[in-house]
Amino acid sequence: MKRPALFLAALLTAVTCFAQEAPNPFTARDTRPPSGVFTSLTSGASAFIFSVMAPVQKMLNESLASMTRALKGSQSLGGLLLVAALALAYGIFHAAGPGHGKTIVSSFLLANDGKIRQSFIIGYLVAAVHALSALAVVLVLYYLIRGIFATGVEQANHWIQLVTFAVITAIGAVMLVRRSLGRAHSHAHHDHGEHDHPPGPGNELTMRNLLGIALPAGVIPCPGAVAVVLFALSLHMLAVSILAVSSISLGMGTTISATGAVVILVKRGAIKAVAGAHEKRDAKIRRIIEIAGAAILFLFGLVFFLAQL
Amino acid sequence: MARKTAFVLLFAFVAAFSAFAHPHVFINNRMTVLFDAGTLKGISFRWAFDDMFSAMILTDFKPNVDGNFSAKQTATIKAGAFDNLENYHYFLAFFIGKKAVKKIRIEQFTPSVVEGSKLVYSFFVPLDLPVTGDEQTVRVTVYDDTYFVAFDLMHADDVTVKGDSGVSVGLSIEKTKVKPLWPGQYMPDNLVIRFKEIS
Repeated sequence: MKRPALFLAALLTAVTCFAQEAPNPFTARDTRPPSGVFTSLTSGASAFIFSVMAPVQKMLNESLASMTRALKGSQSLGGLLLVAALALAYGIFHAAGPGHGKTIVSSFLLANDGKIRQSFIIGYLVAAVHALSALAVVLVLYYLIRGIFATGVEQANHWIQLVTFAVITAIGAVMLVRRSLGRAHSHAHHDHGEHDHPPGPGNELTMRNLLGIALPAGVIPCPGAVAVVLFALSLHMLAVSILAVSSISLGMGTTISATGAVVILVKRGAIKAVAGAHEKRDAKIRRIIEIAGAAILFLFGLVFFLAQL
Repeated sequence: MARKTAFVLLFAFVAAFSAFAHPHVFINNRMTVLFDAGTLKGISFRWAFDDMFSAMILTDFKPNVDGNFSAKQTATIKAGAFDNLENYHYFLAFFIGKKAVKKIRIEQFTPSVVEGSKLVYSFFVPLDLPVTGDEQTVRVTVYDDTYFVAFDLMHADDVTVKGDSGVSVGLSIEKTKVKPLWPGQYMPDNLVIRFKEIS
């Protein structure tokens, strides 16, 4: 990648991964929008989004609702497939929005020596956990606890977030210490495609590592899935709500995986651009990026943990 | 290699833009400009919500068969799913002439259900401006800059005027006059009401 392209890609990806979800202004208590210039810069959408994306998302939302409602009258295979397809698209769009999942996954991939293949495993795992957690929370609140639903979701969210961000802070802290103390390793002698690494001082990821980050990254119930499940349940369509949630999670997984893959590509590009074939410099820049990734993960977890206290 | 760069850049662009394009609630907003006895009394708003947000509120609050809520339910919905909007200025901005209205008052908040499943919030914002021989201008913007809520774009058909005998009223939808902070930034539409006494 050429340097300007690389810089631009890094900047845009950072914007994507750091945009955070706003609270629901209707049901939240005493929340305020971030004020002034900050809001205008970070939340002021572009004219492009308003003219193209908002109507598309509204149409998706409306057609998912009306197709689900249509299924109530007559269940047909075609209707089910249509709901599944709409929910898939809904998931793709939903995960493209602001959220903590992409922040965690991307800083984790910066801090470790992830392979493209692994970004797909993480992406789909996070999405599956994110959607299943929404399904579980809605089902429990809906069938077991008779109370104000919106308040219930918010309380459940509060406790899940408290635990999640404590875990993320801990993972970040451990990684930060390991990366800071650990010996740097170089990849300059490798060809930078998909490569297998001999066991050694590198920071390669095992399946256990992937699961370990995907669980906390996804366990906060997905608000989009909550809305869809609740809507289907209000029509007494439990099976359809499960179908919709599965499709949403597939869609979200696609977006999160692709974001992860781009983070890895940009990381590799940056290392190559700075170090070239210089082996020592390769190790140094790789170490800086990995320490930065771990630091971001740690600080992000800490800030969001403290916000929940 | 060039193809990989192109893919990465394209994805990064689309993703960065959609990171802000994430409304959870969709609202169709209709307005009625109300005149009475030589005064611009105010503007009433009618917000029709999308099916999913409606389902969430209606899970907690079941309306009567006629689609209306009891006074007690109305108070609970107002406290639980409307009053916090004060912190967001109810997504409204009013300019009387060039002066911004600092505090927005809300009257007659009424939730209801139409077409069996769509939640509607209706409320009135009093202005109480005497109509004179000089033309006065009121600008109204409906916009959530946190982008949690997406309002349909303003449309002239969505505005009606009532009680305007003896008043000359001109309505138009105009772009906001504030300068954008960056090129391509979205500037919400304004409803511009120009009114004066018919002499």
